[in-house]
Amino acid sequence: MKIDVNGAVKEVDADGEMPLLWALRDGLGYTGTKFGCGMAQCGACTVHVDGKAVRSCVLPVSAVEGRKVTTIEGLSNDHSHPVQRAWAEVDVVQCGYCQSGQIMSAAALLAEKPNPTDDEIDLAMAGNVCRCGTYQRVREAVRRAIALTKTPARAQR
Amino acid sequence: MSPLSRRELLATGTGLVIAFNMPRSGRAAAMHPKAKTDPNAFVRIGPDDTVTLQIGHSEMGQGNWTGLAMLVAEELECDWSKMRVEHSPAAQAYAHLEFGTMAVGGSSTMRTEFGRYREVGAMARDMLVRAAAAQWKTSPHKLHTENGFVVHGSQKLSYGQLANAAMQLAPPNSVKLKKKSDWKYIGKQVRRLDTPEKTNGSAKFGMDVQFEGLRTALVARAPVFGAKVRSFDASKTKAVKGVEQVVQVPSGVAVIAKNFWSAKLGRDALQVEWEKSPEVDSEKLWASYRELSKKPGDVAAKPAGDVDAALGSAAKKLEPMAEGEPKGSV
Repeated sequence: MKIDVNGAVKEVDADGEMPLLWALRDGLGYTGTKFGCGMAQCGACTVHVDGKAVRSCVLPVSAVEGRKVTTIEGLSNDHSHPVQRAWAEVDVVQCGYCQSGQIMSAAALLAEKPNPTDDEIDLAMAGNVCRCGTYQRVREAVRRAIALTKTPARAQR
Repeated sequence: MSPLSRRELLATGTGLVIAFNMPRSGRAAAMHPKAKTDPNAFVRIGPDDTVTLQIGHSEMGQGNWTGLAMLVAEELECDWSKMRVEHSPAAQAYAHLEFGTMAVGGSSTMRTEFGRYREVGAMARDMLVRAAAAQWKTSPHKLHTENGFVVHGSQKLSYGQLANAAMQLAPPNSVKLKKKSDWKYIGKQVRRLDTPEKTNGSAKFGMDVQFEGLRTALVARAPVFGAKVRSFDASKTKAVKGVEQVVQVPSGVAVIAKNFWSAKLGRDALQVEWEKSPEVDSEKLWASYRELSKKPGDVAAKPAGDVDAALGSAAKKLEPMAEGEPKGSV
């Protein structure tokens, strides 16, 4: 079947009931999206479908036919997305395993609500767990990304 | 070993770069008496001024890649924004100085590498300074370095401009490390170097390794501790598309498939009869724990105060007993 990932329509060898996560990782090689729990409890597998954050580990790939999927690899090709820039400025990551999901949840939130309240940030990020315990920096980086959204992007490391 | 044989010329996608293969100095040997092999660390300076450090220690979130790079940057006096890190190949040169093999553990990386990585930076700096001195026909002693440049009065050359010439020089036999009061990076906060790859999906975790012909195996494990496989029926598993083999392994029954999802569906369809271990039984274990709880235990960390005396004079004594099983799954 064909799915639209990061702006390109790709043929993937998958039955319709295969979760999107495995179509992305095993079928198309997009390994930036992570497998954590396999039951939509941890958020590591978060991607965007038509701009909304979804848990790809429980979403059948057949459900995204004709819709646009964005993975962490497709967020920006040069770290210019405000959320990626904020993550670097705040030094959020430790081991990094959950961070693709954290970033995708944050990016979906800001696309929908450019000025979320702290409660709205907590609610949007509540489904993304982090064993390193980076929660405080994640919240700080989301707030930083809100500010950066209002300033011009520049590539940075 | 001749000085020339200690250097390598590497051709990469970004052009010619230099690699310093650092000889073990007498000082390093004194600092690391347990090291079994010559310590080697590789610093690559590209024509674009990037300084790439190859590190044998795994980075699992502790920040050791950034910390080790800070040690090199401290002595090399390079521009932190041009610092890059990458995993070294598997080679004895990168072995842990105490463990003797490529490994991390016990929060030992910074403690054991504090000498070697600074020496690597100091040696690279020494070669760059001598290369600049030759170009300017002056003495290395009249030059200084700052933020990725060798400076002589109003003249300066970047490390990237000097990299090829520095490569022609022999590494120094010994180097003098900076005084603690002169440190610019050590002890200060810098940006983590592993952030870029961990914020764009390119970081490769163990599960992300893919290559042609790779298969995924999922193991059906015993539902209770100590149980063994008595028998299994894989007929439904083998009917799952993508499943290639089902084999008994010491930890249970492994389903090998083309991809994770096929292996998962195959494992779900597997029927296994388990045989409980006669030695491992919940009631027996609880009975043994209760007996053990009546005996004096070992001191876990260090003794402090006099528990017996304090209990002897206590106005009220409690004899609590808590029992419970760990929750969650492993």
